[in-house]
Amino acid sequence: MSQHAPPAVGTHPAEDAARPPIGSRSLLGRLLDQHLGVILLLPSALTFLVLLVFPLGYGIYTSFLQRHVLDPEGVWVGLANYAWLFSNAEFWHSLWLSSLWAGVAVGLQIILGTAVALILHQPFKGRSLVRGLVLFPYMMPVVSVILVWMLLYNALYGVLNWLLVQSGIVDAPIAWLSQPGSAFWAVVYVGVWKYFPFVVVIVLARLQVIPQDLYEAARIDGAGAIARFIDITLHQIKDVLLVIALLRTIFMFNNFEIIFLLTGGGPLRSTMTLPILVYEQAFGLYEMGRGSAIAVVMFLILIAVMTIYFAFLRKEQD
Amino acid sequence: MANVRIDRLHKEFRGPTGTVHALQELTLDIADGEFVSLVGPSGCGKSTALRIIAGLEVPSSGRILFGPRDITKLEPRDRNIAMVFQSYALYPHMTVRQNLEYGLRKRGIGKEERARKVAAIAPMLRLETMLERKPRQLSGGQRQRVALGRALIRDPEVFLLDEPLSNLDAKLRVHMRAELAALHQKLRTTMIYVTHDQLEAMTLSDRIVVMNHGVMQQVGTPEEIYSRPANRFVAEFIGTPSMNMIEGELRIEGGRPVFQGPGIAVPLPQAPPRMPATPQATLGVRPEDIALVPPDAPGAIRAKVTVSELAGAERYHFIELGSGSVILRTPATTVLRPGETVALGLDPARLHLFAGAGEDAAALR
Ligand SMILES: Nc1ncnc2c1ncn2[C@@H]1O[C@H](COP(=O)(O)OP(=O)(O)OP(=O)(O)O)[C@@H](O)[C@H]1O
Ligand SMILES: [Mg+2]
Repeated sequence: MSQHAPPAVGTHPAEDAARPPIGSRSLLGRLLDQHLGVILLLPSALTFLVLLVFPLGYGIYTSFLQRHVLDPEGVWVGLANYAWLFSNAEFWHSLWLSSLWAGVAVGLQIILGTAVALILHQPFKGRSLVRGLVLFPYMMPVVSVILVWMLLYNALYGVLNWLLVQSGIVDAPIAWLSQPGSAFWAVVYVGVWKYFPFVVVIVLARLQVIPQDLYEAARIDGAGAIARFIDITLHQIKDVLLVIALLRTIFMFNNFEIIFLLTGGGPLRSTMTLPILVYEQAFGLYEMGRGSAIAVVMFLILIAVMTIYFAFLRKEQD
Repeated sequence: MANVRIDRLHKEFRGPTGTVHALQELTLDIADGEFVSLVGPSGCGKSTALRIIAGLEVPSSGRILFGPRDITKLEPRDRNIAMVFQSYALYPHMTVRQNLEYGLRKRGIGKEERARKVAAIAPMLRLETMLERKPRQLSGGQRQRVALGRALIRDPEVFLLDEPLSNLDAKLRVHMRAELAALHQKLRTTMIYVTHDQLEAMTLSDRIVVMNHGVMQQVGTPEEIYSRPANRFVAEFIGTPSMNMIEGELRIEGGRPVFQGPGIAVPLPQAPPRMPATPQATLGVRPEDIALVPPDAPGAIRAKVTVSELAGAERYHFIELGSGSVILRTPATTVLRPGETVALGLDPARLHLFAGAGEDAAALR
């Protein structure tokens, strides 16, 4: 069996006797034995690297360049794009708008979604049908949603204005999307409407697995409906609400299409959130470097949010 | 403190697959301080009865009174009851202390008073060292004690317990059973206890209610239930191994009553006061009421042993009798070999005779 060289002089014979005849295997065989896991992981790891890390790295790299579509090579400018950013009032304005947009939209999504989930958790006739219908906004393509809402909001022939005027609540139609005061809240409303079903689905699933006897024990202990909601329901759904808050915040903070399609960031920059500012810089003004710098800052903000979130969670669990 | 009167309680559940009569005409008077067990097979309506008494379920008809008070329509919290759930139903995010206190807090009892009550109850259930732990950090037995404590701390008029020991292992169960008995001795609060473990019911109860298919079969002291079962269902349900049942006919032969089974005839000491309309009858005899007798003893029945099982301190012998089979229970020292022929004697005073052959065949006496 052993065609290979005998053990070198000085090796302990006992050790050799105990060792299985690995020496007889080929080099490739041994390599496969020891690194099979790594080898098998390699293709997916490489794909991951190419698809995820490369664009990210490239974006970060671009943020250090001054780069124009006509000059694809770009010029290394170091932190100049960031310096421009932080001294620019428009950036701070957009950062504030983005935070407000994400915060308010996510907060309302959670409140509305939880409320609807609680209602849909009660038994009533036609519950399954309503449960299906609630998903409707979430399943509709964004573009159709936007077209519908533009129609609803329209100042000349919009349904909303028609209803308001008809019922005498306002005297004249309101140009919802073209006034700085109302445009922001109009887009927030659409953002809440489109995505609250996500919250409904998850909270409803969680509600259904709360043990019923907890409520019964609380009833016997003398807890009324409100006390039962606070002491049992809220505590039971708290964990999923936290996860939802994180996921929705990341999503809404990065959300581009709703606002862009409804207002394009206007009027008077009143809905100019960071993603739209990125778009304006990169594709409107062809300032790829500046656009990338904003995107990198957004990325860092989200990482900070997540870090705080997980630190908070860890403290909760102890 | 109060006696409990359950008056013609009826409960039906309507569903897409039809109506379930979970409880039918349950009438029961429970004395103040009494320990009453509800036993019966799974699905017989024990929990339903308890939940209606608790106010968690609304009866279809009937009333419940605590003392003179009709509480049928009251919310659970207004009934002054406490309940221990089979699953314990401890609030998972609260500490043991908070779990114990919750009912007091919801009744507006002040912080100091609550602390005092917890301090009084914790040693009783040996929970002093775990007051600041969460339920998930406790063993099954400890959780069970917290659940008991949460009920005890409120000083309820009536204690309702739904299979509180069924999640515990056998050893802990025996232990907690003894603790419950001691607790009842000490508190003398009315307790209504649901179990499908007849041993628990026998050892703990002042009276046992046997139920089947939502219908009360018999109510009586453990002694009565065991030695004078009202019908065939109760006779077979209570006692392990189950009472031997031989189906046959009741006849008068030469002026003397005789039970005629398949292949055996058993003379009876006296005829039942009222002879049933049809001769069909079932003879019941408990495994310990069959004796091994000398083959020449008067009335000895010859039969063949098929199997013998050792069950610790005693032995169960399966014996071919007529065309059926009976179980004989003896001390472990009595050894019978399979195939052996033995002579059996039935104690005439300990025979049970039922009119008919169904579950609801009533005892003739
Ligand atoms: N909410 C309900 N809806 C429909 N049927 C029900 C409901 N609750 C109980 N039942 C039915 O009522 C009957 C009695 O149920 P119950 O829970 O009282 O039984 P149980 O005696 O406690 O049984 P177990 O020993 O298994 O706990 C069963 O047939 C059950 O299926
Ligand atoms: Mg039950």
